[in-house]
Amino acid sequence: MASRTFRWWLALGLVIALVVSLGTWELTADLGARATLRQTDRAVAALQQRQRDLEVRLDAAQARLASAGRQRDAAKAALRQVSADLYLTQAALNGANESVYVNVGAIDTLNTCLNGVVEALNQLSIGQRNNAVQSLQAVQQACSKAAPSVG
Amino acid sequence: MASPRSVLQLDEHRTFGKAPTGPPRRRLRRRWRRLATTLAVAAVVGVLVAGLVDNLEVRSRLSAERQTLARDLVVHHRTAHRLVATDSSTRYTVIQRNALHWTVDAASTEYAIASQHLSTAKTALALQNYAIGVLHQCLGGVSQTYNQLSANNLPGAVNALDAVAGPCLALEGGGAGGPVYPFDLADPAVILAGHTYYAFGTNAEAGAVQVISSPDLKHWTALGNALPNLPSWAVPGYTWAPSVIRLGNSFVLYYTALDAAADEECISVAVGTVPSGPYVDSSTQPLVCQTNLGGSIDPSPFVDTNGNVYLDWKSNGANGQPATIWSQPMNPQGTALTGSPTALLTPTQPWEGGVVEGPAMLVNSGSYDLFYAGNNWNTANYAVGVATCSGPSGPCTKPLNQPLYGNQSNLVGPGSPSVFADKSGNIWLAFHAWLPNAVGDPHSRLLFLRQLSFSNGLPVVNPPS
Repeated sequence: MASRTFRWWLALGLVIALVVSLGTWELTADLGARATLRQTDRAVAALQQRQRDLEVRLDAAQARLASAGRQRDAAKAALRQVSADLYLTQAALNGANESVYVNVGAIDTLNTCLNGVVEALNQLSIGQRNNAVQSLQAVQQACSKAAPSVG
Repeated sequence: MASPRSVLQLDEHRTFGKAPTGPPRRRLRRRWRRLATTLAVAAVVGVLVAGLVDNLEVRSRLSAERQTLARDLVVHHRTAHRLVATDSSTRYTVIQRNALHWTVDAASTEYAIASQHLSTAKTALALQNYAIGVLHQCLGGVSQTYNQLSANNLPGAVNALDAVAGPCLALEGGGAGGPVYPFDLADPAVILAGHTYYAFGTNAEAGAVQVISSPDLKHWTALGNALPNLPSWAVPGYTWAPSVIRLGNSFVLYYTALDAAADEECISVAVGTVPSGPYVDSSTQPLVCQTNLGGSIDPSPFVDTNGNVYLDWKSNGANGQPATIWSQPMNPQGTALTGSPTALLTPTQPWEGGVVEGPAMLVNSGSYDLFYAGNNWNTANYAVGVATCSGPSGPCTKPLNQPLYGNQSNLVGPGSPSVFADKSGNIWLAFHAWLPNAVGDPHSRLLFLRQLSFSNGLPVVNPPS
């Protein structure tokens, strides 16, 4: 009888120990899993916040890129316009300079002619007709070259 | 030792198989105990199962969250990569933009400079074309003049010159304080008669005494020769420094001529009825001729406030006598000298270079100012001086130790002054000067005009307005 009771209690104790062990293990595992879950939840939340921040920064960066792109395109267009204007201006300047150069020569020739004529007139005014003729002959070529109708 | 199952089987056998052997109270208590145990076991098992299910659920959620985290991480990394790429593109684009801006700025600067050069070149070109046109006009007129002279057509030559006076004057700086007449008009004297100004000058191809006229002192027209016939004693082609004054209804011309007999420069007088002439000189000998003083030149008439007429002139200087400016009263008609000459001025200052000549007396508010020229007429040292006198016959002193008016940016060697009043009563100084880089004979001595003002009793030559 004592032996049966003892065995009964022993079995019951073993069962209880087993159950307690199982419960403890399960409880521990559950608590660990929940802690891990909370940690993961926080990590996910933090990551999503960072993602949102990053997307905001990305949007801003893309806006900056678009703005810089527009400015670059505008600068390209301005450069094309300025380059075209510059080309035309330089072409006009070259033409004008060439004309000025040609005119300088013409004016020099005309001045040479005029100086000779003035000198001749002055010599005529004091009666030096031979010297006047010589002065005119000296500039005859310049006068003919500069102003054929005059020379 | 029996197993728990054996015990149960034993209890079942005792409870349901066979009649219990113990007392009923014990059996009842045993049954309750079994029931309680069974319920406890069931409860424990239920709790354990529930815990297990909950654990599995938590683990499932954890797994899902981990997958979410992993997916979000991938997305996050992709976003971060896109951000880095976008930033990189932005930096590259900004660099491109800045480089383009710099290029645009440089091109714009170059364009602005080129535009400025182009504007300058166009202006220069326009001026050149204008100058060439003016040169052509002037030369054309001069050419016609030469042709007229070749055909001995003096009036035609004068007209041809007159027609191109404007273009030729523009070439010599007229309108900006430059000469007011483009052709040689040395030793000028200007008078106002009616509403017209007349200027007289030393001989040139136009004649023994050139005369030109102007309505406004700016635009002058050649009239020709005011003295077509010289007296017999004078050598043709050697007439200088004329001056004209109106006395009564006559205009009296004084001029320098070469006396053929004395071979000296002497002064004569001619009379006309209109300012432009012709003036008639019926003299048989010079009016003034200081042969012992090297001859007499540069006559200049002067009428005092009381109506007395004087003639000022210069003796060239000889026999140890310096060049001297003289003054002598005249008859009211201005045709003959009266009294005796008085020396007004001799060269005493370094800038005069031993020469004083070309006198012109002006009375202004009771003060007598004698304008004169000093130094060599054929050089850039020639200049205008002034002396203050107590009266028409002196004595005179020099208030300055330098010229009153010398070289300017657009004229050189000013001299042979004369003074006149314009229609408004303003006093003007007329003189001739060389153009820069055209100094000395045979270059032209051109007519310049400057208004005079007075400061502390001394005349001041105003700059051109």
